[in-house]
Amino acid sequence: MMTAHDPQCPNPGRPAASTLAGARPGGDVAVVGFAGGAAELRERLLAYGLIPGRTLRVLAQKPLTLVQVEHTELALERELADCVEITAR
Amino acid sequence: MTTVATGLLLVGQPNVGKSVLFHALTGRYVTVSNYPGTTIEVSHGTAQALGGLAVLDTPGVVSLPSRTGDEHATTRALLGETNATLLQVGDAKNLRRSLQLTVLLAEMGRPMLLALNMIDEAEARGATVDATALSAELGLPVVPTVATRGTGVDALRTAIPQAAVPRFRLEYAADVEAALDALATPLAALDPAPGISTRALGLLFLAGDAELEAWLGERFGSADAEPLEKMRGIRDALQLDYTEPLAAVLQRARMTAADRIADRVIRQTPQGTGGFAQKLGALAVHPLWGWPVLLGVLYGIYWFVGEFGAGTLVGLLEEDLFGEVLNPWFEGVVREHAPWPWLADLLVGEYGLWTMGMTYALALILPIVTTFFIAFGALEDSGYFSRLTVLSNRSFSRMGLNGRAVLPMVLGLGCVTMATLTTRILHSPREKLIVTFLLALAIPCSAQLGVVMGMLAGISFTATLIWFVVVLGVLVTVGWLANKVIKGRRIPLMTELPPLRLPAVGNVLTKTWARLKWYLVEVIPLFLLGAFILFALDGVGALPWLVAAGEPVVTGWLGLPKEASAAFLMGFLRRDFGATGLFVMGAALSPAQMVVGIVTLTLFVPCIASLMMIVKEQGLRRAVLMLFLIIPTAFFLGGVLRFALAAVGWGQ
Repeated sequence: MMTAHDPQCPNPGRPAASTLAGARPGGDVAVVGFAGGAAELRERLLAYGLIPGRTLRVLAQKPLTLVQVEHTELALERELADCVEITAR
Repeated sequence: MTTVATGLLLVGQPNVGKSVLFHALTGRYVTVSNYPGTTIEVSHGTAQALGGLAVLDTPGVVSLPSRTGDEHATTRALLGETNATLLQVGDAKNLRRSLQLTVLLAEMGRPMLLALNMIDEAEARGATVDATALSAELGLPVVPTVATRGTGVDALRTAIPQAAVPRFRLEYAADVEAALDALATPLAALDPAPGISTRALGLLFLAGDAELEAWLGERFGSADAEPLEKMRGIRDALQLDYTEPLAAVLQRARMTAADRIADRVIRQTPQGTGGFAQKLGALAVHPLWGWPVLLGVLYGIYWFVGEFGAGTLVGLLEEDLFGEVLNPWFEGVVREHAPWPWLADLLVGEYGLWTMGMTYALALILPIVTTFFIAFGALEDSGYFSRLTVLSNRSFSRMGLNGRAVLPMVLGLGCVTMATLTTRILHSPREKLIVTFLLALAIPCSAQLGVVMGMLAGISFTATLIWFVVVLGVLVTVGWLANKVIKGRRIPLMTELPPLRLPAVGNVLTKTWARLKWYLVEVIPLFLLGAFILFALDGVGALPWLVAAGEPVVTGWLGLPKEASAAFLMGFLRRDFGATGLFVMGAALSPAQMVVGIVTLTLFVPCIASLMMIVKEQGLRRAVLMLFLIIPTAFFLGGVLRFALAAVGWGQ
């Protein structure tokens, strides 16, 4: 579970579509990296399988960002999903 | 392998089934559910089938280094139980994630095996794992299991004594390896037990595991001992090579290795759109459809606990069995044989241990909590609570919490004491404090709900609505205020959504029984104590005096007859006890007085047991502070409600 103390990911000037929070539901995306966020947060995201190069399926954006990693569903709050940089697959 | 294993340590990520396997191996029950974070402390048991081997169940760790209180408990167990064989429980349908922990644990230098659990769910999703190939890759036994059905447990029992130290070694980047070599010297000087390799210690140290650092401080004699400072120097120097924190660098190396291994052992066949359970799971977190689903679930609980438990069962037990048969018979026997009249009064009088204490506990409360625990257990095992976490996250964010708080809050509707203990699954002291306070103030437990619902339904639906709106309003307002007043930041939610499953009847019943046992041990003595205190106060003539002392508040401010003071006095012991006290006054109270009394009692301190749990979890100072906030708040709002109802002319 999350215990990040400083999960703010401001993403100045970055188009919203390049983070997980902006990804279209139903599509597959690849994790590119992490923008900002505390060390602990990255570690957790990695531990949950959100590692650069990995393909995720975006299931929904409301009420939270829901993604499928392997055969597990994860729910992330928007401010966390904002820390995950992605490209469309 | 240098030592004979003297125990078995179960480790793994949250919600992979460690506790179910623990139960299967030891026959000892620990609370199990389809919800991550159910185990919050290390549990001990013995496996009779394995020659009395000691078995330890640990809280789940997402990854190591450990970051939260329950994860620290796991690190402590890893460092302390050095002679134990490691049994990692992994989730077959999320093999990569399981393996990234395996590749770290396999280097601990102690006998280890891997139980690949939920293999059925992986297969249902078209993923086949070649356990033999995986075993060869990792150099340790791999046993596929379906713990909830007992599949593979026999094979596991056979494999445990044969487990050896894994041959696996993960090669990290050259500079990491050099740092590990440099750390090996001071670590070897500590002469750690054979079950913890200096390499594994080095890896945890580089990742900055706080629990390990504390342990090293103890072993070196002080937190800033010279060798430890030297080790920190090595770590700092290595960090300079990377922009990312070392923990993330190491994690990524393990993930890459896990990916590589997984690719070689998983065969994935394309899957369809998903079964009914997956569709229902998606519906349950849908921003629109999630709410009707929740209403349906709530109605189901209301029907089972409210109508069936509090209505049908209580009717059968309290009125028919106790009221008509047991109590008259017992009273007759006691009155006939008791040598002194006061003894008969103590047992079967107005405040008798039997007629008041045991009748309430067994006939009124027991059926309600039993049905509640059955419903709660079934919901836990279904995987619905994780969805509710997601759905309710927004509402809780206004109280400075995240959706995870929903679990202790809902459990509080069963038993506030148990829920206060469960606040440990929350991740910051701040969240724990807010939830504990809200539980104590505005969450009525099932015993009280049963009594309160019965009384309110006897007045009118409007009465129930007034009560509900006031209590919910207090919950939300106080939560909002607590968020403003208590320093610290809110933690955003990230959680796994386990698949929806049909709850196994056996597990739900075992769990209900375990909770009931706990509840009965906590509660029956309190009921007897409560009845006894009232009997004693009545006997020495102090009751009228106390009733008179409470008069200014009870009569002057709340507008209730002065006899209602006795109900509040009982409310100190248990809120529902107090509510029952109002109930027996029945016709003497107007609807408005009844609602004012019930609202005040609902906001009152839950019970002595929960108060003691608050002391245990939050310390005496905070418990006293909460008490001093809660009691005046309850009376103040009760009085405000009285005047508000009088102003609109309701129920006078």
